[in-house]
Amino acid sequence: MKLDSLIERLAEDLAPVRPRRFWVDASIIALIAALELPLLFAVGNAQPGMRRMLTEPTMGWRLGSLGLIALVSGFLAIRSFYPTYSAQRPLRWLTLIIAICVAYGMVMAGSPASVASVIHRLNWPSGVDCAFKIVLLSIPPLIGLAVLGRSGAPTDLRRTPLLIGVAAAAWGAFVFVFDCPFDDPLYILVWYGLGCGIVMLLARLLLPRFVRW
Amino acid sequence: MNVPGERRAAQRQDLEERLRLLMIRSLEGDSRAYHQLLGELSRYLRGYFARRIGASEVEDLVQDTILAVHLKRGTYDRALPFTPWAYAVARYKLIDRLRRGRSPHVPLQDAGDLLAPESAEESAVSGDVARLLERLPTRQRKLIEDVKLQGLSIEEAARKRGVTAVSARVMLHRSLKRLIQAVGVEDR
Repeated sequence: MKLDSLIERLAEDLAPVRPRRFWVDASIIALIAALELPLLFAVGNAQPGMRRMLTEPTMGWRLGSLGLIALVSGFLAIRSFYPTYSAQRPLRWLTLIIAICVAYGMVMAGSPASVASVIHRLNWPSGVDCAFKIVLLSIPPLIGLAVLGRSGAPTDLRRTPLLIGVAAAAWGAFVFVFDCPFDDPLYILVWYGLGCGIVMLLARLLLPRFVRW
Repeated sequence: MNVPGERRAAQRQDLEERLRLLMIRSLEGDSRAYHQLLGELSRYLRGYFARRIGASEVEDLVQDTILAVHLKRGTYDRALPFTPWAYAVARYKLIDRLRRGRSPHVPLQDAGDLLAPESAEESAVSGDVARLLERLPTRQRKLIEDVKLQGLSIEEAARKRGVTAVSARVMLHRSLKRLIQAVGVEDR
């Protein structure tokens, strides 16, 4: 088709369009993410004795770190759905936040006395189950963000999928905190890290094709 | 700033404002404004792409970009300037095309795009790039040509010029800084 006739047709078919709003996108994702929490409690997966658990020292670290990472990365992911936004610099700040959260956890975990104690503390059958559940809980926000990304116009097909992955993984892990019976920082760093890493890797590998336009 | 520079900036500002108003009217469903906007935009896009890829692909790319502008027009924020938004869409389409390998080589004759003029009027100054590059020592100039014009990676360029990647990086940084300073001095 010639350019002139293309322009002619586009102008003829023109309909008023409502500008995309950041806060509408953010509210949709917040709703999808927030629905996971009551669902978790409704299906009876949440740990009993939640009030006591909330006073555990690692609980504040887990909820604070994961909540902050999910919030910041979700914000950046949605901003990156607009063509003029560059996530390059903000992504460095996000990396710094993640590094601080992990470092804090490592300080809490302390240095293990022996290899045997590490193996004991990691409790790998439960750990694999934890990582798997984190991946499952990350799926709804991942799909929500990916669909919004597809309807937007992200121009950075490396960083946008990564940000979607980080946001979804952090939220999945945040929700999973209420289902997790373990509070050993070493266990959390390793298995939560594995679950989040899988989600981020999947997002980085699969989403560029999906959000491309 | 000198007088021609001021005039150019004012013209650019006028153009931006006109395109922005056309876009806002288009978003409200004014098809005449939209027709005018796409017509004008396609002219600028043709110039932009012609300086970056082979002539045979320019028309395809202009059509792709016009279609993308149409499909993604909802992502334009009326409170912001229009040109950066349109440029981001065009740049994305160009990178996408290059990445798909339909046009793996950026022709060397597009060298002037290092300090790319964005309109036909400004293309008159593109010859200044060569003059600016001549101010650099041969080694630095060659490195800039390798990395910025021929598209070699810093490592490849460093190997070609027999220096380490770190020195190449430093040299490149200094050369660009020097060029920027030179442009600043000329502009004053």
